[in-house]
Amino acid sequence: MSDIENALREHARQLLTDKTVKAVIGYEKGTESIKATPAFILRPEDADRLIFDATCVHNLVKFAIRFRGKVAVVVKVCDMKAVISYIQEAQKKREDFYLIGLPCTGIIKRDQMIAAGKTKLEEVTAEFISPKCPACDYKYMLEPDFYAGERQEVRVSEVAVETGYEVDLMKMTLEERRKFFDDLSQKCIRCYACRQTCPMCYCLQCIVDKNQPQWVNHSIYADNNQMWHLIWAMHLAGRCISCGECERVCPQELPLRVFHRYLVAKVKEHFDYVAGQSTEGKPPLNMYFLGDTENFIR
Amino acid sequence: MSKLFEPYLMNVEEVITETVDTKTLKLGFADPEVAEKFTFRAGQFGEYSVYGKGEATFCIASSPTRSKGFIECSVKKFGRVTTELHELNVGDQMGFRGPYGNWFPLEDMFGHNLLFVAGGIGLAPVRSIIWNCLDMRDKFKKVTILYGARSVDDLVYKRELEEWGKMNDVELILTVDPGGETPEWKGHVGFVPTTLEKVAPAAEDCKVVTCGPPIMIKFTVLSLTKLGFADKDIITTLEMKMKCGLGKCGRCNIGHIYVCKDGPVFTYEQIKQFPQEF
Amino acid sequence: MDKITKDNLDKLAAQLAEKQPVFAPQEDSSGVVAYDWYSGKKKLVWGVKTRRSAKEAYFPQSETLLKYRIRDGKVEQENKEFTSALVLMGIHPCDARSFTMLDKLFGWDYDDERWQERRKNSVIISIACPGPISEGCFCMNFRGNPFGTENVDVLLAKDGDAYHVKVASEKGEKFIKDNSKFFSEDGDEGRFGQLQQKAETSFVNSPRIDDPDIWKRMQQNFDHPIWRELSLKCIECGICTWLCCTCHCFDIQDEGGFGGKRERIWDGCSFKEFTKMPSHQPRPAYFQRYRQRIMHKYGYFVERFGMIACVACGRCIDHCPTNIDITQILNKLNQVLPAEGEKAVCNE
Repeated sequence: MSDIENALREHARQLLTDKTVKAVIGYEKGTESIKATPAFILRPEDADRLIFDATCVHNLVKFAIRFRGKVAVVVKVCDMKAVISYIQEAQKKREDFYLIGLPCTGIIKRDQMIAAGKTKLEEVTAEFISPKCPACDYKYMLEPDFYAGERQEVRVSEVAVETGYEVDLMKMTLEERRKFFDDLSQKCIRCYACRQTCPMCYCLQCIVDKNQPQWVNHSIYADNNQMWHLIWAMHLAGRCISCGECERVCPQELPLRVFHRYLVAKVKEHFDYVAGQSTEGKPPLNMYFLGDTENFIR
Repeated sequence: MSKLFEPYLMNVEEVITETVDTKTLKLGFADPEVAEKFTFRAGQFGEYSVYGKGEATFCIASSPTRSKGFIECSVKKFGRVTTELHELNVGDQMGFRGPYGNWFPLEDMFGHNLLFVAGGIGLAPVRSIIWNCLDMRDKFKKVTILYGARSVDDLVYKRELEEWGKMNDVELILTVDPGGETPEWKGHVGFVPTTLEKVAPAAEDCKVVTCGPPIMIKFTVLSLTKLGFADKDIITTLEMKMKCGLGKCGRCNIGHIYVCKDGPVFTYEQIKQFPQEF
Repeated sequence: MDKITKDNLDKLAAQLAEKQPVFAPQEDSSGVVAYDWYSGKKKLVWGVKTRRSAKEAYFPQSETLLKYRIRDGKVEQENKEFTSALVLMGIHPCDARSFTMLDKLFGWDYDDERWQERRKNSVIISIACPGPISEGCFCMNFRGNPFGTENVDVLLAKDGDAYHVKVASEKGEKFIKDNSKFFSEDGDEGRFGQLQQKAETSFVNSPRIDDPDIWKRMQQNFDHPIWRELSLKCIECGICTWLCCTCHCFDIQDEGGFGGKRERIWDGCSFKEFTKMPSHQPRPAYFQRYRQRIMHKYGYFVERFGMIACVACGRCIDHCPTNIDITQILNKLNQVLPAEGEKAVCNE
């Protein structure tokens, strides 16, 4: 048990004893090897279940929005962007969260490790770290209420870049993109795990579940699947925080982030905006300003 | 090939506008063989489809004693399929799958007094059993019909209410919700359960059939219990979202009871044992 | 006892596929191994835990029931034909066992010929598991067997580069005779028995349900507050439903305008829209839907058909995004629910 876990448990115990929060949402050991699972600690005596290590891959912020009242959430740097987005989009207020930060040095790609026969955390090497981690700058864009453990250095690097992504829409010809999209649509089974786990997808009724009119059919033929993925990508344009949860949970292991990464880059290029950086930020596709140039209307 | 989900083609023979959002459709079987062989019992339901829009579940609103070669259904405009059903004209075709479910226990009702309590569109399934009983009038003792709606305009089957009112062996009590009456209204004013308690029909030797919006059923049953009706004598039909109608799609269950197979007709005695999930 | 080499097994699949649809585990471009119809384009992979279950062979995720055309208000409908002579190869014994439960449902009062014809006219060649082939597997601890022959026609047990062949039904006998050129006669019954014993004893560390027969206790304590706690982690996606061997709920939807089709598609009770009606929504809260899922599989199905709708394949445990473990859930219920006949005092 590390210092981080010690500090985390102690603080969680205190928060619950003082009733500062209704619940502490963190991680605990899962039921399979190198797996963690979200933990909902409601009583101080249960705080010892909390852990933190490289198996803690989940973004817990979406669970926090289910509770009314103040909840404590363990957030990694990538998860903090979801908190910021909720505050930006007026879904939650800063006071609704008690944010617990901690030093994260990367999370694992569990399926790859298991496929390579590695079932222990000690066996993790650089190739099994999630592709989004090398791009992390360890900087919390919103100051957490408590930091468990020793503060991590702010990384100084020239270009923080994601690794392990061979598929990049910007480097593909139109034919290659078509082929890629067709292949993805054939494999999708419309379980909607991507939508359900995405922190930015919190609509009370998703557009695909409406039936007057029925915008997207539910049968899993490739054309319907394509509609779903295009709609989802567009509804996240300018809002995607690149947490990578969608790709992690997909049971068909589809490279879902390809579209989102493309749109994140495009929004940055055209509007100089990246989601989840500051609570004062204004997502360009959600807002309208009188000074907007309307050169697309001819 | 499987005929299991294949609907019968139906011709729309008549469209009657009951209220501003309710229509009754008279549907004849397109296939004369089916028209000849089709039978059903009062209380059963079917899946009515508009090709291209989907299927929706409604009871069969006509009585088996009066439906040779056709069935009737009353549809309130609520969602996608019902909106399309309202757009159908005489001569159009649509689909029907059925009959599914269980039926009103007609034989258990022989020799008793009958009380029918319905609210709003809930009169549709009850109408089926009312006509069934009236066509065998001598098998029953006293027959009372208590029907209420939100306003005078919302009363359905107005022409049949007139007919029942004129029968001298049927007591018809009509009521509208407070605020729904017109200056010419001669019936009661009050919610159905309130009017029920005011009229206070005798509970002795009486079977009750009731149907309406869930909240109305809830309070009506409370009033009936207050008036002394036994749980096993209170019969109602339940509504849950249904899709296949035959117990396979897993949608309509309340606990282990499947509304499409064990119901939709239940006695209050049975309903009290369900988990409170609806 | 006969034997078949892995090479011959591949060749057999390819040859059979020329005459009829063959359903076998194949690897797709993401590296995921799942059952699919053989087309020659993907690599056959035997013995690896498939991502999805075998019910798709008889109950596809989307299936056209009928096609229709509307002209001047008049409807022409065409009931869709389907192929029923199928070959299922490389099915795990747990997947084959799940057909027993689904047979009961699809034959309940109304015969679903789409399921029954396919079941009747297909041959199932199963590959026995040498032990738990994923961490979630626990069939041996739950009324199953890695060498199980329930609903299986031919059972293959891997031994090096080849498989010992056990005939499990008359249909299997005929199948081997019809395809005898792929089989050799040097199978070893003793060795088969050894492999079976080894497999059966290797589930020691697998998940375990202490007492699965808690239906009556769940029924008597329907409103117990434990359900709220158990469902907190659920994100209401459809993964456990889609991957499950015995989940069978479906929807019927029309697609098209003046011409189109009626589709039967999988649906799940974890989705909000499953029971939502314009008049009211019986299960508005998460925990109600989660409770429905557990109670249906381990309770209502037992009440109706006398068996639990779970074959312990463990796919839900392996792939749930938040690691909800069904064995943990049931063990917790077993712990917390009062004994049969007693009702808990609900203090929430």
